Amino acid sequence: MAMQTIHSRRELVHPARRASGGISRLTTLLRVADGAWCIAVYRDERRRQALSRQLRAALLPLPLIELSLQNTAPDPLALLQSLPPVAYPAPVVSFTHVGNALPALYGYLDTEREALAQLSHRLLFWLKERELHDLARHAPNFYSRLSGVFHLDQAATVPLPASKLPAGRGTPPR
Amino acid sequence: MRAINVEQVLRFFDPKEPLSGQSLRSWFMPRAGSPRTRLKIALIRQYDKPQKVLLIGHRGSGKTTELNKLAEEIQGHFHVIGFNVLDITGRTNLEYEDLMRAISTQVTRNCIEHQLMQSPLAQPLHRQWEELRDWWQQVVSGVEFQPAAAEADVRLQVKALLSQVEVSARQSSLTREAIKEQINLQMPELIQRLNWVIEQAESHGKPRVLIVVEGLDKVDLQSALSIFRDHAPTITAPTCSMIYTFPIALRHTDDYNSIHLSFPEVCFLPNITTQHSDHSTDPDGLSMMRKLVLARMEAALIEDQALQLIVETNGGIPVWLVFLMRSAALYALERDEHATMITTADAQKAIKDLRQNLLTPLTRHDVQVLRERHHDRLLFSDPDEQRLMYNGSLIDYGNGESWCDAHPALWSVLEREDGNANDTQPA
Repeated sequence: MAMQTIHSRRELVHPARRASGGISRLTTLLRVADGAWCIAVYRDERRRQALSRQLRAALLPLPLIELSLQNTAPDPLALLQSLPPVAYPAPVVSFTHVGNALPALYGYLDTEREALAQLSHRLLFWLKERELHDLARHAPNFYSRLSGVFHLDQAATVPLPASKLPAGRGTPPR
Repeated sequence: MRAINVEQVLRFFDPKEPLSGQSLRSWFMPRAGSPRTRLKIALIRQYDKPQKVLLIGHRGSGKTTELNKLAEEIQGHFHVIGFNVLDITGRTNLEYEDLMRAISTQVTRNCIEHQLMQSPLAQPLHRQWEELRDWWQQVVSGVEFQPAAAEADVRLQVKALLSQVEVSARQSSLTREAIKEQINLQMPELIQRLNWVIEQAESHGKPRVLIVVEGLDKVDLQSALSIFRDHAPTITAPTCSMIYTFPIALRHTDDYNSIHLSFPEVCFLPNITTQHSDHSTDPDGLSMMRKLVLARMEAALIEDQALQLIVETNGGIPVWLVFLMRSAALYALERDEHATMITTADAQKAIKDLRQNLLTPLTRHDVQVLRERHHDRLLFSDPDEQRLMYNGSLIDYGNGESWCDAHPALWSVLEREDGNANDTQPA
């Protein structure tokens, strides 16, 4: 019974609608903000590809360049510097298969943070939930400068009703 | 330069950009408690006595912006050579040899690029330049380098060689190890050569050299401890003034006092306090936070209640203020692509995102420690507290006595009895 209750509450926010909202905000951020750094959290590769297609279409005419980190040195700066010039000055560069580049990628991201910040590329890293937690732990310098983390596939979480929360001292409004 | 629509808010609040150049001129706000003026006075008044300074502040507290402002203010007195050691070495677990190599190559290259050195036409000077070049060549002997272009000017030869040293050591562990070993064996010579370059750059009444080394506050704590505690005499050996950023977590360790002896001038950039330790609000801090926001955007673009929420919830750390503003603007544009104002609901969603970001690396144990510190607000030097301070979930404040608290965005989780993090699954 309790499970059913939880299930029905989760349906209050349909996952597809949530994902759509996430894509919409991610698109706006990438479209408007040169040099933005974002994480998109996804569930499986097939779904990622579908989300990526959706994002690519939504971003037009802004180009989205996909760079796989499979079978390559996980050095984002070197990869960006080796890109052929494109007409658009600050394209979106989408890094996929990030799991294959771990844990080495964490070191690169942390140490290259300032150099990456000099570039106008809009960076998007596709991560699974577990990889996001590891990134936050092992690349805290990079993580602290993200413009946004977008949980594109996250099942809706049910926040505790306000009445269940103790009224703590000085708690900022939730 | 102030945002006049919500889309510009998204552009003007970029968490990865410290203020510099035009943004520094437009948006910089002097902060109460900033050590910048004291530092400026110490550097200028003791012009002939090089200062060795530690600058301490939380990640995102605005150290780089303050240093950029300082560099602007002391122009004419000092030639500032600043760099981020993570950028140059490509390592977060660097050793003191890596640091000294980075300082030497950066200072030498910068002085050549800015033509601070006399033309080496006169014979004794020319020979000294050749000696410098030859010394570096023997440091890297045995390491495979591409042959340098045959530059006519010996200074350009040195510059090209040092560029290659930096790139090769960053890209290859083997090269880095080989150079590190040589530098370890010849550290006195490296310092002597570096000091010769500094002396040349400062000769004939030119401005003094000030080296600003950023990034040491972001390397892993063991590396930083080893560099500052065990190698202080070496890293303070250059004969010019120097500023090092220093990890805030090490400020609360037993080793800090011994480190302090080597760096008499320690400057702390305090977070902007929005509360006192007795939980009463700090109106000055809140007002400062509002000013930081309104320097970049028109007040009409955000509901007052939304702004109040954001200034209360960023922990007094500018980077989180900027993150919250960008995130709230994004929610406003998601709600309505022609949104003309950031609402309270937008701000609440942005705060929720920040809370999630802060919770991501935490374990159940971390949440418990944060809950305890949120309750007693006592500042401990235990490894748990150091780690939490390092990742930004625990913040220390300096208004009145020293105290600390969990990041305000986390309070609602900490005040909930069941906390939702565990040791295996992140919160």
